[in-house]
Parts: sequence; structure tokens; C-alpha cells
Amino acid sequence: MNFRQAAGKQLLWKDTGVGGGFSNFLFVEQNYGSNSVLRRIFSQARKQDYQSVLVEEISEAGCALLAEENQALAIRRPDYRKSVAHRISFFLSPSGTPPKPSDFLGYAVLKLDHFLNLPSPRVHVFESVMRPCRGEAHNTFTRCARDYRVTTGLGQLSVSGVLYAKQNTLTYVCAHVGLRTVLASVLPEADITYGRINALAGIDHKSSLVGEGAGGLKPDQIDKVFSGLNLNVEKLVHEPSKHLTLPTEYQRQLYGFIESGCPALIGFEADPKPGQSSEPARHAIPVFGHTFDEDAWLPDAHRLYFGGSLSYYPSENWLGNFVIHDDNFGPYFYLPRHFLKKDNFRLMYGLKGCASTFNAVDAEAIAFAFCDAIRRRYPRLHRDWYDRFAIYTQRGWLVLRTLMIGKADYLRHIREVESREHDRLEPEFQQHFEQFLPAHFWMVEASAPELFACTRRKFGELLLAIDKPAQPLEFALLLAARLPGFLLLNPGGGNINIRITKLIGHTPLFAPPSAPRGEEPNPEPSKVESERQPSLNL
Amino acid sequence: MANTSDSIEELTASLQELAAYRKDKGCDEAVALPGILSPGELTLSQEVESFVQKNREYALQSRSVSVGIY
Repeated sequence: MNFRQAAGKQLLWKDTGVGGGFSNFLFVEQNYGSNSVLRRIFSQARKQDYQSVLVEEISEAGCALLAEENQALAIRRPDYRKSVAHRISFFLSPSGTPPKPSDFLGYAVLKLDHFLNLPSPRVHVFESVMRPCRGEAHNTFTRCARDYRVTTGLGQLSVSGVLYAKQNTLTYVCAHVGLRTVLASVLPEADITYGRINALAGIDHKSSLVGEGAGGLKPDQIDKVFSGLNLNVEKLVHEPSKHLTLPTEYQRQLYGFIESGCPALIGFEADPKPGQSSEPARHAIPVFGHTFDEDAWLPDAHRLYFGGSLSYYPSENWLGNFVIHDDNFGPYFYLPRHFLKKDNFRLMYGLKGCASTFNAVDAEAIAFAFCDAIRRRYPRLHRDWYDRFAIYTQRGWLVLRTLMIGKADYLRHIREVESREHDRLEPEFQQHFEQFLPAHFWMVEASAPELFACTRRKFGELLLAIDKPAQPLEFALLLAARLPGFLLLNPGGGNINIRITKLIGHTPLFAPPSAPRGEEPNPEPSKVESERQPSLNL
Repeated sequence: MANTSDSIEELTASLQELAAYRKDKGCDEAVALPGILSPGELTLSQEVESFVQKNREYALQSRSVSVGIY
């Protein structure tokens, strides 16, 4: 029983609408020790014009997770006395009016931990899921949101969002809460307990500690959490002091995970404080979305003024911000793409829907090599949109967008796409793809800056195998290419089949399914980790 | 004074060639494609292979490194 499922005892249900005399600041100051994260969550509810707040007390008797957390605290600190937990829910409907499903904006669980040796309780947001204030209409793309059902005293309600959590600095720290967000985005049960993370990392609060006086999780402990859950993860390390310098920009790799619908955990080193002699502190944050700036100046300006010399435009050029949680500040912050530089970046774990022999940045470079080879073989076909593809490729103006994609999503995409002339891919080719494509593959969409950024359309796409080595670079890597007017199909065995299609115009970019995935029942608890199937729920 | 790059001019010239061809010949003279393409007909840049190899070697070298605490 977690905090969402637990029945609570109603403490108040209060109107909060503007003009009604309710102050977010005053409420948090009077009841929750002026907690800054909670203030941000309240402000996000205000931004969405919330009309009432419901506060319920959750007891250990009704919430096994609360009991487990308290037990861990008691082991960690002998002066631990008790905890009080409040679940705070936000509604678009006023108090006294039963909320409709669409009225539920989300919830936060406040935990107040009491210690004998401390004059006042320590307050932190144990978890929160809020409906994000900004979505696709605001050029913000978050594919890691999940649906969470919450059993409030006003009924069972659902909220879609990315789970946020704050460290308590005793039994879980920044890496734990970052891991929790990342894992909640992909595990079938849409959450994980700190008890389980600690068990996987080898933390027992007796002989091995985290938090005050002990520090955080080491990367090899984080490795154990991912491997213990049988997840496909790519780890990137940048440690200049150990003569390990990441050869690519970490932001491009990060974008590859996010664009493929998977979250990442990044670790960075803070700047040293004045007079600090010890190692600078490190911090971990989850990344799960990005913004898209269709009028970005950077792609062109980078080339013309600042020496950028790539053979194509990575679509990541149009990314303005990564969407993150930072447990120190709260949920849903924007991290500007060019703010956290390589000087401070140290570590990244990117989740993947499937194991792959090369990453998204490599896939993009390989796809460009194929595009270039195709246009060399067929410089012009005297079909307008193919010829433009060839010209843009030759002149270094192609835009490439790379995603790891599942077969079902790709089949849905090619069933739906149509040109401006309303031509679609012939059903026989759709069937062909259905028969020979593997479960997962890289899709690299090829476009032009004007098509990609403004109308979000493309020339076509190349599909690359994810399970074949990229060295030597061979044709076996190319599963298929769909370009204006023709397809290259590589069923294996040597030659590539060329098929003509009436779809000769540009088509929309791939858009992932919009409905977030829900929680699923907890897996069989007796099942040992090694028996579990890979559980990435994509 | 930075001005329009060579790259933009090359792109513009190529697109203008395309427009001129279309004006002269119309759109009904599309090149016929064969049904089969053999791998030998396409030349892949080896530059990409070395780029991928470099990234792979770095990943293998750094994967087991555990520095710092978070």
C-alpha cells in the first residue's frame, strides 16, 4: 500500500480561488515550515487556477510504505521519534463540489519527521505528481509521464505527470530520488521504493549508509540498481581528472534518449564554493523532456558565425531546454541546453527501450552515410522532393532526427502519414514492413530546416538495425529507407530491393502516442530480481 | 562582416538548377529505377566508421569507472 492507494483522514478541504482570501504562502508558512518545494507545487496549482485543496493525514496503519520508510529512519537515526504524513490534493473544483476526473491537478505527500534531538520536525515532499503546466501547445514535449490513480476521500482520481521526490538526507539522497523519477517513468508499476533501491545498491543503514556524514551513492551502486532491475541503460562518463574526456557532447546523447521516449539521470559537479578545500559537491537530476524552439537562431548561426562544420543539422539544434526535476527546488524546471556545460557534466545514465550496439549519435552519423551514398548513386531522379533531398544531403543542409522506435509505433506512423497531395504509402508496403521489421530499430528522419522546424515534416526516414555492429559499416545495418517516390527494402541476404511508391511528397514527422501509460499492479513480490523479465514498459 | 555563407549559395544554386530543369523538361521525365540495388553500388563513408569506433572505444574504457558520489 503506497501513499496514493492509502485511505486518508480528511483534515481540511478548503477553497483556494483567487479573491477568496486564501494565500499559498501563508498556508505553507503556517502548516509546513515554509517548505520551498511545497511552495513551488502550490504555485503550479495556482498557475492552473486551482479552486480547492484537500489535506488528508496518512497513517502507518493504512500505508505500508510509510511504515517501511519510518522503520528505515529508526535504524538510521536512533533519536528518530515519529513521522506525520499529509497527502495534499489540488482541484479545479471548489470545496463542497464533488470533483470531476478532469478537476484533479495532482497531489503532494508531505512528510514531517520528528527527532528527539531536533527542536522542530524536518519537512520534505516525499513525492508529488502534478499535471505539468506546459505541454505540446507550449512546445514542451514530455514522453515520460505516467497515469497515477489516487484514492482521495473525494473518490479515486487520476493524474498524468512525472513523479517528483525530495531527498531526506538520511535514508535517501539526490541519486535515490533521481533514480525514483527515472524508474517510475519506465517500470510497469510506475514507481519504486527507496527500500528496494537501497537493497539493490547494498545500503542497509547499519554497515553501509547514505546521507548526513556518509555521502551519496557511488556510480557503481547506481550501476547495481539498474542491473538489478534488468534495464537497458547506457552509461556515459566524463571525468577529466581521470583523463576520461567524453568525445561527444553529452547533450546530444541525452537528447537521443529523451526523443526516444526514455528518461535519463545526469550527474554534475557544482562549482567549488569560495575557500572550499574539499572536492566540489555533486548532484544528480532526472531529465525527461525537452522544449522545441521552431524559430531557433542557433542552427544557422552556429554554422555561419561560429565555425560549426557538421555535414548535417542534428534536430537537437532546435532544442531549447531539457525538462527536469531538481529535488532541491521542485518539479518541472527547464534546464537550458547550453547552460550545464561539459566542464561540470560528469555522468549520465540513459534508459533505452532495447539493448543496442551503438547509440543515437552514432545512428545519426550512420544514417547520414547512407543518405549520402544514396544521393551519390541517384543524384537526380527528376522527382521534385527526392531531388531536393539529394541536394540538401549533398550541400550539408539535411536535418536528421533519431529515435529508437518500436515496430508497432512505426507501423502506426506509416499508416497515418500522407503527403500534401493526400497520397499515402501503399498497403502492400505496410504489410511488407509488418513482416520483416524487427521489434525495435533506429528510425532516422531526414528533413530540411524549413520543413522540420516550421511545419514538422520530412522527406522520409531510414531504419537501422540496433543489434548489428557498426564496424565494419555494412549494408546489413540498413533495414529500409523511405524516400520521396521509392523505398529501399533490405530483407537480408545481399541485395536491396527498390520499390516505387506514389508517395512522392513530404510527410509529417513521427509523433509518439499521446496517451501516458498507467500504473500496473506490483509484480509478484516473491520473484527474485534475476527471474524478472526486462521490464522497461515502453 | 559575416555574409551569406558559401553553403547557402551552393544550396540556392542547386535548387535553381532544379527549377530550371523543371521549366525546360516538365515533371514527366522521372528517372526509372531498377528493382534491385547491390551493396557494391553504394559507397559508404569510412569517416563515419572511425567516428563510431572512437565512441565505442571510449564507452568501453569508461563504463566501469566509478568516481564521485551523488
